[in-house]
Amino acid sequence: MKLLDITEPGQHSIAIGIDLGTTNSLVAIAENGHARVIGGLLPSVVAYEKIGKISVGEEAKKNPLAIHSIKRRMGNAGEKIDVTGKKLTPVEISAEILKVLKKRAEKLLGYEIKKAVITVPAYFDDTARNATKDAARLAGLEVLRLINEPTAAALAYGLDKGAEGIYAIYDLGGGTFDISILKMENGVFQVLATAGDTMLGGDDFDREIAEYLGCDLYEARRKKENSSKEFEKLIAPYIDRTLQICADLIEDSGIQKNEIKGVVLVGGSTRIPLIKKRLKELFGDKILSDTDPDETVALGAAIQAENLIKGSENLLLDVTPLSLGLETMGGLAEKIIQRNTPIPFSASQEFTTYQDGQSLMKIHVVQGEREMVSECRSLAEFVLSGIPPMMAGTARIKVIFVIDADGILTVSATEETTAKAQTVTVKPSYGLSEDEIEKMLREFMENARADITERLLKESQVEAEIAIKTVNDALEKDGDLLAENESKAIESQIASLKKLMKKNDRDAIDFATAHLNKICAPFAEMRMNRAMASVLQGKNIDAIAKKL
Amino acid sequence: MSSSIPVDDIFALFGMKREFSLDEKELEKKYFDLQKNCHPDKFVTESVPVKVARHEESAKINTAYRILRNPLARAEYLLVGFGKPSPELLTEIMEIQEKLVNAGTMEEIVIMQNFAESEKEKSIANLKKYFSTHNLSKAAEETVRLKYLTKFSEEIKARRKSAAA
Repeated sequence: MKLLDITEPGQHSIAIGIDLGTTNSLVAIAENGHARVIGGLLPSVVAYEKIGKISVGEEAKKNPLAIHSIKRRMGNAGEKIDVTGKKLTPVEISAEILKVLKKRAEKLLGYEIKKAVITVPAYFDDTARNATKDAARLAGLEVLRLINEPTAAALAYGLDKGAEGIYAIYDLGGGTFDISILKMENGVFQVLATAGDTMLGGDDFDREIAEYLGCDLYEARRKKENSSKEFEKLIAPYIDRTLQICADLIEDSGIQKNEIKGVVLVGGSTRIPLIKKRLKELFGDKILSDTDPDETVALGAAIQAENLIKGSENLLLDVTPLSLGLETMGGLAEKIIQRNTPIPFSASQEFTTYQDGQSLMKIHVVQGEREMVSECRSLAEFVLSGIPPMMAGTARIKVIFVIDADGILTVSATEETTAKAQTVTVKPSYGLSEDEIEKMLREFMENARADITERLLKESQVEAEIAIKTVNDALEKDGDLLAENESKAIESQIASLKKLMKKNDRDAIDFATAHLNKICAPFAEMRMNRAMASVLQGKNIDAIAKKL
Repeated sequence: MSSSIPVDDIFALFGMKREFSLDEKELEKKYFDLQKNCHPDKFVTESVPVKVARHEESAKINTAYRILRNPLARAEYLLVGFGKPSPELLTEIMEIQEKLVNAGTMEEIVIMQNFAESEKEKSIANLKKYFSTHNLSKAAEETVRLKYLTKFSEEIKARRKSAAA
């Protein structure tokens, strides 16, 4: 990590809080206990443009090949995703979002930021947590702590409103759902239990609505706000599922519903009126939505970042969301650490050999609640070798599980009967190695040194090219919508832009591209109206009724 | 296969008397105080060896707290090395198990759940009595009983969930 080590002035030991969301991300900073967000929501969208330029956020959304909801793939960190011309992991793609957030904060503060608290869904498994940490390192950020999103929200809410007692945090974001039950008391934020689903969120609502209307996701997202009866019917099954998870959690945690003083709503998707209505049915009139659900998590992360750096009277006690265990005979999962155990935590279990002279033992680490290993998440597999020859049942193999305060697991195994212990330590198999991270960082630095002027010119040329192609395609399809003088104006602007593209004046190219886009705006609107009309015509009433 | 039980005296770690009966509020307060001094969040800016040491300490306190606050785990901890259950107890357990298997309707399941919960409470009260009178062999027997009742209660909860679905 030497590469990015630039000495910083002592007074600038500041850390940012980052909400790395499925749909949107946000960065915040806290000073003296007061947190504020920096910039607005950054759409978690990354686009790899043709000539090595990477765009993130609103800009990236314009690219039809942009990558959305990468967070949903963090649990499969070894996956290779095809982007223009190369294959990248979810870790590398997430790092681009973090880089932009880091820069935003640096721009505001005027110095380099190297440390951050990053939030993850409480229900994120070990692999996804490691992937998030790797992404941060790649973006040049040291993760002081990963904290769970609902816990961050509780921290922001509790400190803000002086809340005391037992609260539920209902967090429905774009891609994930979490419910946590916390006890807040004298500055101690103790998570009692947590549950969720990392594959359930507002994105699912958008998809259902888009499919139903035959429109794109953007349009669906806009319409969702209207919350008509039809849309409510479409999304009800998802909301029912979140309520079932809430009910199960309350039952499992042994807390009575009437002990819960309030339900804090977090995540943009909780703006949907139906959710509030259904939660009221379950919890009664205790729904608290007086903070901005989009910002609470980032603000909590920022508060915790300041607490960690400067020290604080507050204490955050979190739990592990999923049970951790080992595969035993017959493919059964033996739980070593139960879910909702406070972290950090360590536990051990002794195993023995079942064959005379057995010298090897396979250790398969799994995460999940199911009894069969095949239905749990496999985290790592390793072999303990060099067990001395002994009768079956006499060797003593101790397996130790350690979960750190980030919720990340390390497992080691030791044969204890012999003087010389054999220890194997395992880290999850999908995480990036130290070497890989170093290599990526080096490449990143080299790219940054490339000739910036030339790159900017090329970018402008490519953008102009894309604009011309888009307009030409549109003219071919819907040119009949335009009056003759309108299409003439567009064509002459294209011709002059083409001429400018051959010269090296970047500003002139940019100006001409912008002008072309401007004069085409009414045309784009006409096309949109035509598309909408054809969608509505294409649907017959029976087909709509069937979907309901 | 066996779980390892902490060698240190976890009661001493919390500055509490080695007794089954304990004040839950006091236990929680001590827990918070201990974690305020050693939780890894308080040592983020320290050197790696300090971080590791504090981390281990914090984990140890969490392990101890998990045992202390759960009556069954607490009893088991106090009774390491005590005898096996009597035939009478085994018969009782078999009978409950049978009733549980036969509970088919939602109504029967709810009755069984209430039964398991009230027996658990009684069992904890018994444990308090046996421990306070130092009747440790009785306490050991009652602990095994509580262990089975806890298991029944979990099973019946799961049954109820699947019956509801």
